[in-house]
Amino acid sequence: MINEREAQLLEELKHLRKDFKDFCYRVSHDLQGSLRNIGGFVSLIEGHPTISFDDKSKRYLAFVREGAEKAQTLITGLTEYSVLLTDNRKLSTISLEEPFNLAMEDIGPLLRQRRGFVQTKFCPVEIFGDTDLLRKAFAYILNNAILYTRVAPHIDVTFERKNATYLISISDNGIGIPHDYHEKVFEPFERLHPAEYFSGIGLGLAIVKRIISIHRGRIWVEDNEVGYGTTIRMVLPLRA
Amino acid sequence: MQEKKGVLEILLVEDNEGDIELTLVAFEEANIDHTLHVVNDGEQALDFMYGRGLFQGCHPPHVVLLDLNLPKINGKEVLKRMKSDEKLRSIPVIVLTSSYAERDILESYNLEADCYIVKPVDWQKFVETIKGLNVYWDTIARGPS
Repeated sequence: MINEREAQLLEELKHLRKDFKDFCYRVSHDLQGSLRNIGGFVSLIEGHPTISFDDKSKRYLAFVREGAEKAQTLITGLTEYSVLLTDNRKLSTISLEEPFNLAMEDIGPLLRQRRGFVQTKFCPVEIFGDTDLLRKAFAYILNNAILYTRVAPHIDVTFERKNATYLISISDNGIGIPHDYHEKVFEPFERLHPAEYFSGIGLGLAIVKRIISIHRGRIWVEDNEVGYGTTIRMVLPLRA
Repeated sequence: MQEKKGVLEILLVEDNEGDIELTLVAFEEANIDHTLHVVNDGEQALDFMYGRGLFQGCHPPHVVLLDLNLPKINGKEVLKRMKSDEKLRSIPVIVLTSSYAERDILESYNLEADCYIVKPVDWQKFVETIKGLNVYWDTIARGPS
């Protein structure tokens, strides 16, 4: 039973959530419009049939265009993260297989391109969650495992039932995460490597952590026993 | 009876001047035989299709490229009115969205658009997308005369 004041606060919270979400989309849309113009017209200038540029000018134009493209990626990621901060969607009983298989389809082309493979030890289970969000979370983690490696990616995914929870482990043979950064990697904008070695805007794991929180789960990083690579572990409750 | 391949009459509903220019250039690069009509808000879009107001004598286009965020009457409203009008409902509408995130809104509103184009970050991809429109037109959008 909630009293009148609590009901009022709940109503305010609902409006605030909606206003915040609308605000994020609005800002994102307008910024993306301007950035698209910058990127698009620079591309047109670069490819113009009658204007010729010296090497320095070409380099500078490329910086402008790449800056605009990076800003667009950043805004998309920020919008995604911001909206998740106020996400209050209702979870339901879902099969964990579905979001995982969808994520595997999403990363398929990149995996093939990098000549990698994913080994899965799966046991079907129903959990309390959201298919779209978990699909996104799995895809981000798998994507990182494919990208942050200097060799062909080998990824091991295992699913284990542990009492009233489900443990999902995703291990890779990549460049690893230094022990001091095991918690920091989940913070927004934490990037461990210079942009020219590995691209990434540092939001992926922050978004994943937010998704796992929405599922009332936990996520953490472990070093692999073999001495290289990373394992991401997630625990999700089986029921509400 | 199918009409012979003729000029593609397109109505672009877009208020961002830069986006309009980029779309015009993309159509030229894609080498599609077309006439591009441009209006800047939802009200003008409907006036054009009904041949009224400033657009007396205009005819409904073969296809509409519709931005969602428009002044006066927004894109969603234009789409709703088109889909509930016998005269306009068969015109294919390609919705242009600015960002991936907007797909969530689109799907939940169930707009009955014929397809969606996310305005791409990359210029080359945009030209390819517009070229794809030619294929769409040739294989799907043409109806009997």
